Amino acid sequence: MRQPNRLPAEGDHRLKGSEIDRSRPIAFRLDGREIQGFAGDTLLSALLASGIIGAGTHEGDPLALDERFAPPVLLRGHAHDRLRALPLERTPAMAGLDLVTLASAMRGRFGHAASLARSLLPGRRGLLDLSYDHHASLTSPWFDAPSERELKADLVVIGGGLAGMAAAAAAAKRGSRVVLVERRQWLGGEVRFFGTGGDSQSPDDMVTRLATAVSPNVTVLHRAEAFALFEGMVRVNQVTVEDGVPVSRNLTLAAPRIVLASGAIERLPIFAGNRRPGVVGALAAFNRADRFGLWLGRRALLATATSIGYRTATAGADAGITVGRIIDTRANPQSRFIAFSKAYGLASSWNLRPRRAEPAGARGSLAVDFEAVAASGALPNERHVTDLLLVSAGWQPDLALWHMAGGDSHWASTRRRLAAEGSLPGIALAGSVAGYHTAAACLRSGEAATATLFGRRAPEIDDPDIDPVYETPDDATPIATRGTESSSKTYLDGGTSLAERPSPSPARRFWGLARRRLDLTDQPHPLGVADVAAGVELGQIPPHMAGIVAQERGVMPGDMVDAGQMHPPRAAQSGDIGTPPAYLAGRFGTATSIWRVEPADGRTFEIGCLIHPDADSADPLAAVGVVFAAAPNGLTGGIAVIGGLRAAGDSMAVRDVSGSIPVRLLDHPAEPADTPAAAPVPAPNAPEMERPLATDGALRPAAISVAGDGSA
Amino acid sequence: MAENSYEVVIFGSTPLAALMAGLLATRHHKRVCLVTDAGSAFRLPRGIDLSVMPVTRPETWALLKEATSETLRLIGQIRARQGMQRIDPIFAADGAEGSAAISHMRHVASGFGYAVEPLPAGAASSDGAAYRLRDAVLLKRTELMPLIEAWLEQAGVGRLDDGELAVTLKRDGSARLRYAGSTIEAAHAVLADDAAILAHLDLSQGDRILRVQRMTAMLTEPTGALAAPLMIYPESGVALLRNRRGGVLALGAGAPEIAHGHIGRYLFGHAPLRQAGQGTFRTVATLDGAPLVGFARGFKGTVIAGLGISGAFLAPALARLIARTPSERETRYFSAREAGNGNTRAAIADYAGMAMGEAPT
Repeated sequence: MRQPNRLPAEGDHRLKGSEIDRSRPIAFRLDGREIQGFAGDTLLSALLASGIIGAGTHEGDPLALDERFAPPVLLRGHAHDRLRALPLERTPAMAGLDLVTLASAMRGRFGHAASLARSLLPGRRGLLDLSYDHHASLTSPWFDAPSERELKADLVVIGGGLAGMAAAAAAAKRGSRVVLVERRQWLGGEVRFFGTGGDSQSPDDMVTRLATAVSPNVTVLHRAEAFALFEGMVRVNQVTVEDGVPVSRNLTLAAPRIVLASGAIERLPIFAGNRRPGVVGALAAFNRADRFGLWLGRRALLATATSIGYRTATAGADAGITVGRIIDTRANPQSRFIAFSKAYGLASSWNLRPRRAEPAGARGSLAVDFEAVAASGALPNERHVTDLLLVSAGWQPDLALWHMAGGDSHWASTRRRLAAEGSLPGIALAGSVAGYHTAAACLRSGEAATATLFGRRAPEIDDPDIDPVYETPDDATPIATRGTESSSKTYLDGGTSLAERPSPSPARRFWGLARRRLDLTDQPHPLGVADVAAGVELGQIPPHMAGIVAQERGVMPGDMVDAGQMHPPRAAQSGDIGTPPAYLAGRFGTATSIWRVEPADGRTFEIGCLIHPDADSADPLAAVGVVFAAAPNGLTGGIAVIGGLRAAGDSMAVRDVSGSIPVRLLDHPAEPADTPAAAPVPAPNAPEMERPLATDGALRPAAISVAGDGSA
Repeated sequence: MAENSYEVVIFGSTPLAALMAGLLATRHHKRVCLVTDAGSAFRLPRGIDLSVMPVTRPETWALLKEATSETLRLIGQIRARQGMQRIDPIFAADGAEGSAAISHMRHVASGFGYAVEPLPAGAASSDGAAYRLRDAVLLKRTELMPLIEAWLEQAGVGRLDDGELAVTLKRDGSARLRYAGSTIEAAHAVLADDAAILAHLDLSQGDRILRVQRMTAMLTEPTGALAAPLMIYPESGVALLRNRRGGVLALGAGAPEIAHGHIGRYLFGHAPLRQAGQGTFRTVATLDGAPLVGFARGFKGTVIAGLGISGAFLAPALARLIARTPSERETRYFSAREAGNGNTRAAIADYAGMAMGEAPT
C-alpha cells in the first residue's frame, strides 16, 4: 500500500513531518494488511498515511480513526492477553511488527480471515473491520493491568506542554525529584499551533529552552498516559520499546504534590455526520501535518467558530492543498489569522455552520451542507464537496482527572465551558486545563502551581484577552438545526463515549422548566467533559448541574469486579435462628407461643410458611402463625410462632407451595423460656448508618411473649 | 382561597410525589403545588420503582396489591403506559436471616396470588436463598416522568423548583414558600421523598424512627445478561437493574468502597466490568423496616419515609390519606405506622435489611 495521505517532502512548506525520517521507510502488518510508514511514525500516523482513516462502524455509520478514538492492538504473539494491548496513538511504528486489533484477536483465526476479506471490499478499504454496535467497552484494556513499577518523586507533573514543562522546571531548579508524564513522543504540547503570542521566542526555541531546563533533573515519561489520579498517587500507562518490540506497562507514581497540566479538548461542532472519516479537528489536523506530514486528500474545507482554526487552513494551502472555502459562524470576524488567510487568497463565507456531512462518490469524498446561522441573513444552504472537512469549535479544559480526584467544576457561561473550582490537597492545575489560554500565562501558571504546592509565594498570572476589535472572540460551538433528512449520526464529542444528540422528545414543556432531554442513564459509556459541555449547549443539561454530571459520569476506568473479589463471600449460616425474627413481632397478637408443628407425612417445612387455623383458610391476613426455624435434630415439620391460646395436640394447617398440610402442635422443649426476639439487625459492613436501638425497649418485639414450654 | 395559596404542597421529585400531586388535584379537587428538585433528573438514578418489595407483613402486601391495581389503571388513564414494563425480578439473600425473611416473603406473596419460584443455589450470585417473582411492574422513570408532568399540567398542579425557594415548615404542618419576592402559603405540607426529608427536616441529631444512610449509585458499561433484569439483595441493600443497552444500574448501601465490593461480588462472572458512572447520595430509612407516614421531628405535616421501592404504587392510598378520605384498610394500616399516637412500632416492624433508596430520579 502506498502512503496516499502523506504530504510531499518537496516544496517550500513546513508540513513535512518533523517526527518522521523519510529516508527510513518501514512496513508492518495489522490484521493481515500491510501498512507502510516511516521511522518516527506512530502506528496511528502510519495507518492514516496509508489511507486507513476509519476506526470501524457504529450502527452502520463509519467512524473516523483519530488520536482520541483508536482501537487497541496486540502483537500477534500476545493475542491471547488483552492486558498487553497497545495504544495505536502512542506506540511507535516499527518494521516487521505483526499486529492484530483486540477485537479481531477475539474472533479467532477464521474470523480474522473473514475480517481481512471484508477489509478488501470496495468502500471499506479505508476502514478497520471493527464494529462498535454492541456497546462493547471502549475503555483501554491496559487500565486493568497491575502496576509493574512504582516511582517516587517530590512532584509529578501530568502533561508536557508549556505549563507542565514550566512546572517541572521550576521544581527541578530547586533540587526536587520530578517525574513528567507526557502522552506523546514530543514535549511542548500545542505551542506550534497556538504560537507564543507576543513572545519574541519561536515556539521551538521556547520548548528547547524549557526542555534544557528539565533535562538533567526531571524524569520524563514519554508515550505515557495518566489514567487515574488520587491524592498522592497517579496511575500511568506507558509504551516503551524493549528487545525491539513495543511493550505497554502500567506504573504507579507516588508523590505528595501533583501538577495537573492536561490541556484542553478540541470541541466537536454538532451536526449530522460529524464523526465521519474525513472530518478532523483543526488542531488535530495541524499536528498530523506538522509532525507526520499527513493530510487526508488534496481538497479541504474549514468550518470554524474560532480564529485559530484558520491557521490549519493557511498551513495546508501553503503545502499545496486546495482549500475550497473557509466557512465561519461569525459575522465579519477579525484576526491576524484571518488576515493571513486572505493573503493566501482563501475564499470565505460568514454566518454559516455545518448542517450535515454525507459521503459523495466512491472515493471517500464528503458532501457538506451548510446552513445559515439563525437571524444572520446569510444565504442558506451552501453545499461543498471535499476530501477533508476541518472543524474548529472551541476548547474544553480536560478535567477528567480532576473530577476523578474529587475536584469540583462549574459551567462558566461566558466562555461556555466547564471550569474547575475549589481545590484539592496536593493537586494544582496549570495551563489550559486551568483556563489559561496565552503561552505566557500557561508558562506562568506552571510556575505558580509548583510554587503553591511547595508552599512558596506564587507569581501573578496575567492572561489578557486581545481587544475584540482586533481579535474577534471565538463563537459558541456550532449546533445545526435538527433535520430528518440525514441518516448520519450526530455525536456530542469525538471521544469514546459515542454519546449522540438525543432524539426529539414527545414530552411537552412543563411550566417552562422541564424539557426532556438527554437520557444520561441510557448512555452506555462514561461521558467525557466535552460531552457534558455539549449537553449544556444543547439545552439538555442545566448549567448548574453540569459540574455534578461531569463528576458522576467521568469515572475511573478499571474492572469493577476486582473490588468484589476482594470482598469475601458471606458464609451461609445455620438455618436455626432460635427466636422469632423481629419482623414477626406483634403479628399474631399479644399472646404468642412457640411450638413444633408436625405433619402427618413426615415432611419438613420451609422457613416462612404460614400457619392457618384450618385447611380451608388461605388468606395470609388470616394466618395465625409462621414457621420460623427448622426443627432440631432432624425432626420433621418445623418450629413455629403461633398466636392465641394453643395446646399440645391442637390441629392446624401449614400452607407450603404444595397446598395446605394438616399439622398438630407438639411441645418444643429446646426453646429457652424467656429469650427475647432479636431487634432488626442491619447487614454487616453497614457504613455511616445510625445503628438500630437494639437496647431500646420500644424496638424490641415485646409483644411476643415466648412460652418455651409450649403452654399458653 | 387566595391565588398564591395551596391546600397541599408536596415536596418530592419521585413518581410517588408526582402521582400523589396529580391524584390530589384531579380526584380530591385540592389546590396542589409540587416542589421538585429540578436538577435531580440529570444525576444518576437514586431509586427504582417496583410493584413488589421484600416485605413480610401481610397487611403491607394486601395494601400494595390493592393500590398497585389502582396505580396501573391510573397510569393507563393518563396515557403513560410506555413508562412502565412487566418484569420478573429476583430477590436473593446471603445469610440465614435474609434467607428466612425472603422465604417468608415468598409465602406471604404466594398467599396473595403472586407466582414466586425458588432458584437453585448460586443462581443469583449470592450464598443464600433466591426467588424469582413473576409479573411485577417496573416504572421507567425517564419515560414516565415527562408523561406524568403533562398530566399534572392539565390538572393545574403548580410547580416550583426547590432550589429557588426559601421554605419554612411550620410545626402545625403548614408551609410558607418565598419565591421571587412573593410568599406562597400551603395549608398542609408533604415531604414525599428522601431528598425532601433531608432538605427540610433536621436529622443530624438522629431520630428514634428514621435513619440516614449513605448510598452509592453506579452505572456499568454494557455487560452480559443477569439472571434477571432486576436483582435485589435486601441484606446488602443492593439492587441491580439492567438497562436497555445492556448496562447495569447498581444501587448499593454504603460509601463507594463498600457498595463497590458487594456489587462486584454479585456481578462476578461479568468481568471485565467497567463503570460508566458513579455517584453517592443519602437516603432515609426506618430503623424497624416499617414505613412511617405522618408526623416526624415535631413537624405535623405528612412525612413519608421507608416505603422502599414500592412507594410509587401506594400513591392512590396516600393521596386518599392526605385528602382524609382513606378506606378502612388504609386507615388501619397508616394509623398504625404513625409516630406517636400510642403506637408500638415493634408491632408493625418489617424486615429491615438495608433499605434501598427511594430518592428522586
